[in-house]
Amino acid sequence: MLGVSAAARVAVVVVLAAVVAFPIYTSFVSALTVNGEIARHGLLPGLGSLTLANFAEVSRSVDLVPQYLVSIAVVTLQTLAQVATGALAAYALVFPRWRGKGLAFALVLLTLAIPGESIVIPNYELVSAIGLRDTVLGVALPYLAAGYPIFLLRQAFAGVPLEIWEASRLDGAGDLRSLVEVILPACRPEVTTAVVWSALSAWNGFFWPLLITDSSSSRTIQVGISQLAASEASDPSVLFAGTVLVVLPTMLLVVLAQRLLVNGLARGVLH
Amino acid sequence: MTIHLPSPETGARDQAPDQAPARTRAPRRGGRGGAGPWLVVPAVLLLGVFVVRPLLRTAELSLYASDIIGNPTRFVGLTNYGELLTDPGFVRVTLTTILIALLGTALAVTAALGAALLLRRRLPGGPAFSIVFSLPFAYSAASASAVFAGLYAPSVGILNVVLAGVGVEGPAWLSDPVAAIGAISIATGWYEFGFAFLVLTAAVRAVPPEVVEAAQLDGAGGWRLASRILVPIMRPSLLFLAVTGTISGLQTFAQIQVLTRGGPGGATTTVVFQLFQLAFGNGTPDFGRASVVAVVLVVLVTAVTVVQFRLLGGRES
Amino acid sequence: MRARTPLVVTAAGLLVALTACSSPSGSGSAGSSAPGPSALADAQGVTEVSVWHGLGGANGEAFQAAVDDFNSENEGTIAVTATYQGVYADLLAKYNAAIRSDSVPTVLLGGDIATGFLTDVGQSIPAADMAAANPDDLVLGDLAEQATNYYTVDGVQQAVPMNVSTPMLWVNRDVLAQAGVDESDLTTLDDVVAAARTITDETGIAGYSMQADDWYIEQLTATAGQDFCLPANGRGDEPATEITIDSGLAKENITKIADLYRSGVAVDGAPDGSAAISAFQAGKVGMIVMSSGILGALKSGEPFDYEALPFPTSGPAGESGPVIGGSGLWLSASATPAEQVAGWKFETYLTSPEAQETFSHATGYVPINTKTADSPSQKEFLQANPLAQTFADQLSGTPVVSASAGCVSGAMTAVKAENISQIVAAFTGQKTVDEALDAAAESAKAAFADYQEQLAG
Repeated sequence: MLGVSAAARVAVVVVLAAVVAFPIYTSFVSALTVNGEIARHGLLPGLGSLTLANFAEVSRSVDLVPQYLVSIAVVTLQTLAQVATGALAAYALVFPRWRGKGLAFALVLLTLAIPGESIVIPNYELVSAIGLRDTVLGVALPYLAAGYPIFLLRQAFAGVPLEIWEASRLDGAGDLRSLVEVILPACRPEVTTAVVWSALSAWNGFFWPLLITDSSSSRTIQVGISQLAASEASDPSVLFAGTVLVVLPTMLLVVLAQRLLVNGLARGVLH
Repeated sequence: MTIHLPSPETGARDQAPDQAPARTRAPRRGGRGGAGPWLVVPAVLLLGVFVVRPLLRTAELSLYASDIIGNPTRFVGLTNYGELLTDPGFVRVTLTTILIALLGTALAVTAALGAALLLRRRLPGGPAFSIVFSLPFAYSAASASAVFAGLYAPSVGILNVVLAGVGVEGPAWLSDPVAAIGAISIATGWYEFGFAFLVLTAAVRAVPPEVVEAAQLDGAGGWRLASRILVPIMRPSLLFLAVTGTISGLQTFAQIQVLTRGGPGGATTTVVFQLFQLAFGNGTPDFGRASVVAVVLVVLVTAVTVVQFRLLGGRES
Repeated sequence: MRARTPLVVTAAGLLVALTACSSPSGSGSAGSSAPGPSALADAQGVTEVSVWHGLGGANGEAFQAAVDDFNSENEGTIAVTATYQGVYADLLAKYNAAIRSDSVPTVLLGGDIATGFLTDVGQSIPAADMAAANPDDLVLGDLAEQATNYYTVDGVQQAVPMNVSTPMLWVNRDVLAQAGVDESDLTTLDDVVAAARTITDETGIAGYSMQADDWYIEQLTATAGQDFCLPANGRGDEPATEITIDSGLAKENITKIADLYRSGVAVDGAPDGSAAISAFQAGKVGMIVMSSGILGALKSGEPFDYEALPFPTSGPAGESGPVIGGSGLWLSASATPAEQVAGWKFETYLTSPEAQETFSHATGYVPINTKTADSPSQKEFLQANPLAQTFADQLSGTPVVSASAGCVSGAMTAVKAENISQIVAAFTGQKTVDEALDAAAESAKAAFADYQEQLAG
């Protein structure tokens, strides 16, 4: 009884895994073989037909290295800024008493409901007017603060027992020290969640970077890969090589940080 | 100074998101307490400049006509709205957007639920499968679309090549209107599957073992256990995924930009793509009309977000 | 009270943000007169010229080679940097963005259908003016009239055509042989339609395909001797207000092609033509109607037996002919005089017989300079590459009439996008051809009207 149902489960899981893995597997295989190889010899290429030529082609058509650097710079800048301003704001929204706290929090909540694309045009006008087109700062600027990390951290801080905070204040710490030395360490899982959320959304950003960058070397890697899809429509192997390169960092994150993702990210988003 | 605290999950978390903590505090006005409230300023200022003001400006732009490089010209009031909302083409665009959002989310959540439930109990190779199912999370909308571009490409696309290898003739994914919507939904569902799987795995593991044991003692096995016990307990996560998936589905852009450019024949034009076309893609930027589309999008997303807060707001698992 | 101060500061900040920065104007019309050679001669150091283009793949490489050649010839005086901005639509979007932030490139190699918009937006110095001010450089009369005609609006030549393509009927000789179709029978559109059916009937292979782009619909109209838009293809005093594809011989032509698709004889070629090219190379389609510019892609793939034949005729000879494609060079009116003259020298180089010869060999674009044909090396090349001769002959044989000049309007991008969208719906059977063409004409009228409204401000 148990044997049959277990076998059935395994079978279904295997099929599902095959379907999910199919795009990844084919893109890797195709990236490592010449165009049309899969058509000719099926999905299991002989080791002899593996080649790195597609990767070479990708680095010729796309400014991969500059784009990677731009993406990394944007991710770093946005994450640091969002988590820092978020932590500061969350602290101010939880611990001190002041008039207008409710209004400020309502403002933050309001921004959660506003889709980024709807406000793109005015931001585009503004960033162009101050001359930050085609720069890393221009890409990151509208996203230096974000509602979601503020919300997440505010919920986390509100869960810290009041006595802890009061104790640190009685010990003579100012607000900033209190935040950094007591509150943040107490909310490590949520802070981690906020960092991961910010980093991922910065890394995955597409619409805004597409608009605000012009030259190939100032684009983020996501924009670069979409342009590769356009120019290599008739050579999927090269396109796949590009996607492999783009996806490697996050894939490493997923493979190596499974537990972090399940425990921190998945749980964190539910609170 | 370090203080060891119980994990915040067991801390006092009984507030709804929009209520201030209901506790008494020693008054902190004056003295060093004055610094605290200032900490909110950077975030509020940035959000004000880059989110709130643009929203108001978008609303403003939507009431004006534009010149050929997008600057507002004369005030036209609600004319743009009238034109757009009565245009059957735009109605179609809205419906297409909603359809893609729902299809993609349904695919992702259903498949992820199945995968998470199947992996609940020990399985040979369990951790490996877990990793495989999480992999799509590594892909962004743009990179997933690029992968699927290679799969769907006409004539040389790998998907149809492989299907042909097993004797199935694949449809013209990107040039048949119905197939194109399916193509976009599949690509969307695929990359959202990763995140959904992670969330639902966490939710499954959070089910108290006693509950499961009790149900099993009662004779519930496999399917019944899942549908009667587990899924209801996982309801908050499922709702969360359904709503966030729908919201991001309403904002579908990258897949359209990379795979179909709104085609074939406008069959896959989504609201955001329409916005992009009007504002940046058509050669003669019309910020006035584009802003109307932007406002419609805000209304759509706000409506769904409000629903989200209603359904999930006071509910802490 | 101190506790209220953050709120006050925030509110103040918001107020500042709200009132600050209303939209930038974007510089309007230039109105500056064209500078002469002294502007560059007097300049110190290296004058930098930026060029934006939409040439990808093999064509982009050939363009870069030309840029590199120019740079090495002018080392120390002029340095040109060329950037690929994506397909023509993306290129135009970028250019619009640049206008807003006052950062337009010195030279824009803009797609053909942007001519109306680029003229109206007034950011460029007309080519005619630059040529007059710099008589030692490019002589516009040396360029093929069929091409300069396209870029002439209101009697003034606005831009310099650089890469000119012409639509061809490409045939896979093996497939034709299999079906028993004779190449020499493929002169008129009716011939081609009949042959496509024969191919499918005899061999089961698709008989026809083409890029799903409105340029080819415009070809079906121009070769029917019909102006694509009225009045006078937008080239007279009055701007264009409507298109004509829903009537006359143009409609008949489109219907015949649509029937090929609807009956399964024709296969979809994809909006960027990649499907048509791939299928053609794989022997899955017998004939495709594509630009002469695909030669580079065909040459770099696996070799097979193909031929390019003149675009099928349908209208009265002497009054009909295909419209050119490709892009033209627009010189920025807001660049410094030195940059403008340097840019003009670059344009002169690009359109010189030597550079055009090299460029055309690598790409399949037709040499734009009529003197190219005089060089012995070109004569040799043409003998060895009869296809190139065919392209050149089609260009030079096109009568310089209104129909073949093509439609000019700032609304062309929007009109063309909507057209092809409707027509593809007719191809796939979603709509009847009549419905599709009527819908296209309706929305074109609206697009033209909207554009005029935007233009008026």
